[in-house]
Amino acid sequence: MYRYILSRILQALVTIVIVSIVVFSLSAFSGNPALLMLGPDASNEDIAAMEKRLGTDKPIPVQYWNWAKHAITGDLGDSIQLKRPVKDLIRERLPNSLQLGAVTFGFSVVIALVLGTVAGVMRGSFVDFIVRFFTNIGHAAPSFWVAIVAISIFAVRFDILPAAGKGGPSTFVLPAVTLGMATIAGMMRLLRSSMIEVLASDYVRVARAKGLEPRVVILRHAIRNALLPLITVAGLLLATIVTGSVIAETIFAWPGIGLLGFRAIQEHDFPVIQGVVLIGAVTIAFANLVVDILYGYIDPRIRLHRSAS
Amino acid sequence: MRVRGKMTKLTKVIVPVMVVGLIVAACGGGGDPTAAPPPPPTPAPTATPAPTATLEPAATTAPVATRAPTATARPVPTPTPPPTPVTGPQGELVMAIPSFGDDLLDPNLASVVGLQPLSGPIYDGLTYLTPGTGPDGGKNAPGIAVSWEASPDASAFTYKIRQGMKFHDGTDVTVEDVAWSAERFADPEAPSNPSLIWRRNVANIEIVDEQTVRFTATRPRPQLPVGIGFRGGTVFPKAALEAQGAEAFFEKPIATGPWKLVERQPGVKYTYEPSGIDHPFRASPAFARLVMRLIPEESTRVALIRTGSAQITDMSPGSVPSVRRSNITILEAPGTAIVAVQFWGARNPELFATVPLGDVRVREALKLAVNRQQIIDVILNGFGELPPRNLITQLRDAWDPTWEPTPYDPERARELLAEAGYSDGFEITYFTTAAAGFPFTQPVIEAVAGFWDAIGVKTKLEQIDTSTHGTLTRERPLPARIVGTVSTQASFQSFSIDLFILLVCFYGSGFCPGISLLPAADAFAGELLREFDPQKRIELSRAIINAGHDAHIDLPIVLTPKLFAVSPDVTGDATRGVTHLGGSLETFRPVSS
Repeated sequence: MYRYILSRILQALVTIVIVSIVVFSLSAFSGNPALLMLGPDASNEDIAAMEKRLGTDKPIPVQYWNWAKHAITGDLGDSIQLKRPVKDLIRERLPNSLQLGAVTFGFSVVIALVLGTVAGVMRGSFVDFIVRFFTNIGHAAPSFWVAIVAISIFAVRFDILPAAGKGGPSTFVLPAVTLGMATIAGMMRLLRSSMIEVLASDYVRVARAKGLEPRVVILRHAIRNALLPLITVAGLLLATIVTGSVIAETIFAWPGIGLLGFRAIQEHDFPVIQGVVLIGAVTIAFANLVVDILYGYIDPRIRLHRSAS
Repeated sequence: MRVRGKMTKLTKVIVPVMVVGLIVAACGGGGDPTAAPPPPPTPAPTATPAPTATLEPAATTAPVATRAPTATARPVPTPTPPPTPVTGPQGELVMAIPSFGDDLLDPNLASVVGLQPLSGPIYDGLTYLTPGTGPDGGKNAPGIAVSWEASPDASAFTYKIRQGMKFHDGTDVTVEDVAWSAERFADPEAPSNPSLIWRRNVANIEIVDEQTVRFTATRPRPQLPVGIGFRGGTVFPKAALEAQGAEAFFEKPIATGPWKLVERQPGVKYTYEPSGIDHPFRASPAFARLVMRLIPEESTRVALIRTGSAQITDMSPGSVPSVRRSNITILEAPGTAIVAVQFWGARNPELFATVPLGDVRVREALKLAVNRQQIIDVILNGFGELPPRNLITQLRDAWDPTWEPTPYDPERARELLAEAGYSDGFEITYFTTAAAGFPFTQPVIEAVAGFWDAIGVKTKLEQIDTSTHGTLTRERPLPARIVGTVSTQASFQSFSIDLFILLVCFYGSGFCPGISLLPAADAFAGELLREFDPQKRIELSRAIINAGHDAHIDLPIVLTPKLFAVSPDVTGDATRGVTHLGGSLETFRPVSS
């Protein structure tokens, strides 16, 4: 098991390093930070002096090495626009994204669990049709459209929820729904098909043959095993929620890393872009790692299979 | 049994995550009080705006010229501020803005000084440009300085500082503070663009006496007073800034504006309160609190106005139909941006022989082919004007009322193409850039490409960001692929030709969008920079602009206003709203029901 965990950690580290190299290289090729800071009216001498000061006059591999050396210690450089350490900016905003992600994930799991189970159990029924209908909408509807429509209905027309900003519990509702739509749809679909498969298995048939009540069969025998595939994707979905919240955070003015990244891209703030992408890569790699380990822990067949092979 | 054991572990994983999520939802984390709709501004009695009388300058270096009347009829309601009884400021004014810019209040760090929405409420300049579109608009007016004089050769400028002016902490503004602040702005280590420009233009700052400070330019520069007021005239208390250190000081800077900053949440919101000190040349705030909230998405900002969660926001013409369906007022600051086509190929002789745009008839044809009025009517919902020339608006001194816009004449355009040997048309690739805050740029550009397609010029649009565009256009000679760009540039609604030239081609690097690389225009620009007589400066400015027009080096498509959606319960002066209302939010007051 330890060997398995170690190999997964190494894979995660390699992924993070590759992502950081790609992001750094693309950023370096996409513009000149010195020109951005000094403006188009700066002379070539001014720009050369600023490039030297920023270290961008060196070859890109050297620049990357210098950046990586500091990044390992947590120093992600300073924002070009805000003139503040990137790590401070991320430290201020990451908790907000994590809070939104946790809420989104929590209610997504609850809704998906209930509706996915019901749809699986009542396969082919009108309820199943409705659930599948909303699943398709959840997958198909672009989140920016969902967000704008939600604001129009719940904030403007009925005035029951705030349109933007982070504050009390009510401010979580619209961003979390927007962010969770696709997640809920994915989880529901997965759980429904998993439930259908489990309900057709031998041990469920045996349980029914023993005369157990349908409620007991579903809750005690079927649903628990149907949840197994869900946990495989749950970690990834959580990571996606946290790192993929750019649209929801921008539309709802949520002060998280998604909004920070959006703004950094708009303003070509390369150190911030690199920092945000690195945090995203670390989050996803970490979530993958946790899921892999957890899955091996929960389902011994996986680690046994690996041990045997 | 195995299933049960496995599921117990599973439950241990799922349940805590759900519980944590729900607890966080219930707690909601740190509160942002502005997220909930703020109390509506009290329509009850408020302070009378009554800015104190503006002193006349002893001598102004800004040319005073007759300008064309600029008022235009607009299909928007015009709010009439009712008389309000006098009491203290009450209620809260919330403005939703798309960007905080740099989120920085230290002019040595910020990339734009004086135009920032966040610093506008709290900072003053030595001078400021008068708002409005009438004959008194766009003049360099007294601010912290009451008067100024230029040396005969326009290389030194002497300012008299207003007596009795106070900082937010109650201390007096002294001439030492003025000189020290200007010196600080010139710090060679300051990485900001405005500091760079300041260092390039101002050679020396000296205290003449207790009331007088003199700025010496690096060379004769008649237009420098506008730059001094605009760029380096922000004054800070030397003692407080030195005692606190810059980082701590600019968390809640002490300055002289009618508002003081009381809370700063970078990237989220800034909260201000009236400074409590009678301001000598700006209105006293009518609201007890001013909150600037960062809301990047326009539809969200408009929703905040509709729900009463904010009172003011800026908006694009595309939002006009939805706003008109509600009772939101639209205020406009006319002439704040120009969407223009630049025919870069016209300015590089080496390209003349290789690209169709090198032929003046082709460029004229492309101008005649565009139905700009239709673009204004359809894409901009009527909020725009036909600019007869590029880089100038009717608000500038050099505006010539006899100028006529280029007509829409596709037949003549086809004839010109045929005369130039392109009767079958040709293909071109155009770069497009859009300054932040102008979302209509892309649809306008696509419409232009459509009109060109109609006369046989197949146009491929490539969108690039402004920094990449800036990098490309710095190359000399211009790269052959830069035959043209289409962009929206913020214009400066109330600025005189002095500042126009200062901004456009006076930064010493030779970068001069819209004018440079055209020999005739460059020659006039060189003369203009040395000319001190106001009338001659206007004539030279017109000569520059006409040279560009006659050579068809560009096509101004539309002159657009800056639009503000304003809650029906407040009103104020939006005419200073070049890109924001930071410097005039003190003029907003509740509307009595």
